[in-house]
Amino acid sequence: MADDATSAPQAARRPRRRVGSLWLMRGGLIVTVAMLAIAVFAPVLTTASPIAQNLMAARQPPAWEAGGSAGHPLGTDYLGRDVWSRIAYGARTTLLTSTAAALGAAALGVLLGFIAGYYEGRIGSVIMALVDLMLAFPLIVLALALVATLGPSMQNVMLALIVTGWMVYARVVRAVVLRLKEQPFVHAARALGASDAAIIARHLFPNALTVILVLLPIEIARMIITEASLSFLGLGVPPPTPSWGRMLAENRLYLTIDYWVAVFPGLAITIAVLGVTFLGDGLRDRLDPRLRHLL
Amino acid sequence: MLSYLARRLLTGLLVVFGVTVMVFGLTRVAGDPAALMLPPSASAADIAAMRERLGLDDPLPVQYFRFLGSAVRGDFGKSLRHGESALPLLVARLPATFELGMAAVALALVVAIPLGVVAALTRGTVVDVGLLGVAVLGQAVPNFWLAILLINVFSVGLGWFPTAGRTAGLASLVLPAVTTAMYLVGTQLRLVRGTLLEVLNQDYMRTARSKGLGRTTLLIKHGLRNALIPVITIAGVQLGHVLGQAVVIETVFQWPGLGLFTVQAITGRDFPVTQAAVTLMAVFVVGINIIVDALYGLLDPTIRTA
Repeated sequence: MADDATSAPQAARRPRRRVGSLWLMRGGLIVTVAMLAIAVFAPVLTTASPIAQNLMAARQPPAWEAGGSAGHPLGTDYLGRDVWSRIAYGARTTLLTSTAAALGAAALGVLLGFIAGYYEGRIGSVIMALVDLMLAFPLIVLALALVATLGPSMQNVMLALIVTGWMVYARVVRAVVLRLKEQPFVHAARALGASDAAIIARHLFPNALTVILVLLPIEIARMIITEASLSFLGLGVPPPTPSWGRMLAENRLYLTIDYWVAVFPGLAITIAVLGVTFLGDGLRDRLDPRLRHLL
Repeated sequence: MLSYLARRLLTGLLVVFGVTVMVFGLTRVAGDPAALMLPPSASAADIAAMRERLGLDDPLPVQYFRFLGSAVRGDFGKSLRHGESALPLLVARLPATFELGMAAVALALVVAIPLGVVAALTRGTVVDVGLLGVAVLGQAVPNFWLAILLINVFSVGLGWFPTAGRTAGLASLVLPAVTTAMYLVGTQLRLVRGTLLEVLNQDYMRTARSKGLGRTTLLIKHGLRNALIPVITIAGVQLGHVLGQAVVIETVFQWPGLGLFTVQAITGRDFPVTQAAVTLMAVFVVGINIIVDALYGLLDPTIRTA
């Protein structure tokens, strides 16, 4: 894209801002903030406990249906647990695991990406070979196998997400570092006697930060889906912690009868993913539209 | 081209070698395989005897190479649950997964190519934005939830398709294939749109237009033909992704393929089958990538030297 100035049909090629991109980003921001608020203020926003069972009140429809009650706005599941409350508390599980895992994967990937890019040679090849190796696995299967072997717990779910999620950062950061380290300002810094650590910390990292920031929301969105899939398959965050993916799995027998246990948890996942995705797309268009080709 | 392929094959082999190391390591993290293979009531002496029989007291590298030696001969041990050799059990599940994968990728291409062309030709309009929106939605909706919704509407509500299984022929295939395809369509649609827009701006397109070629000929012969090269390669790569998707989708639809069997093995701690399944899947992904690269080289001669 940088050589656009010399090519003829310039106007046509200049990256155009997508229609409504700003609005989508605002929408994404609002949804993301709302999700965070729901997660933080879950005890205030709900009246029922997310884990208390009450067989007398099992399988109640949402409040607006006949037979529904205001105490359970989105109805109850087959054990009489409040669906809205489980979704609100489930937001904590989802946001915590996906954000922490995305940050952990970013830390690991960025570190390995810097090493691979800065010290090309043998260690760089070993890291990139590891990236290729990891990408040969269907990652959800690897994550499943990891959680199954380590035992289901929130920490192990995060660990599995990190182990299967760092490669994209490593690749992208390495590419950035390879490009940057031949720039005059880096040569200048080295000529002035700056150490490797100083060059990386002061000159390379700030320049790679944009890419990392743009990648993060995309990866958080992916992690939300992966975590939900793991929970759905029974190897996510273990009970009694509420989780959107497991809500669908637990009510398996009632999904076709009680639409509210099927619709709302999935809707929560979809809205969360869309919100974070739009926020990320908007960030990318604002921070560095050229990245659209990279990511 | 041949040396390029040879190089790809070699790196592919190295990756598969790495895969076996990881798969071997994974089960050693799990704890004592001997204890896993015996019932919980087994005595310490039983476990020790089992360890002896499995060679678990040997140094790890020795154990690994024994594992690798058997693995290359297709021997991953017996399934703890089925008591049969692990690999043949998995191979028997392959046709169902291939059927699903092929149907999904084909369906996705049939939908995504025309829609991608429409999006490119109407760039910046409501139609384009709407199509991109659908593409984003297709990837934001978790596939297992989409599956549940489709089952509710089309199987339970309308009674058009069975809710699960693979016994009703083509009717069984529809919903699993649609669910899988939905995710693939998003990537393909955006790619068709993006590459076509790029191709339409090429100099040779301007030349062809100034020769007086019709819009349709121009679009199909010069535009699409070039724009589809990356799409075909992505479709190949997606076949690999489908394996991961299959794990979830086959579980929802109880589709008797590799994915469902693998999930059952993983959750049932049937580690010989888990090892064999993960290795098999990785070999497929690596194989598909090599084929895709070779295809890419055939379709686009400029990358062969890269």
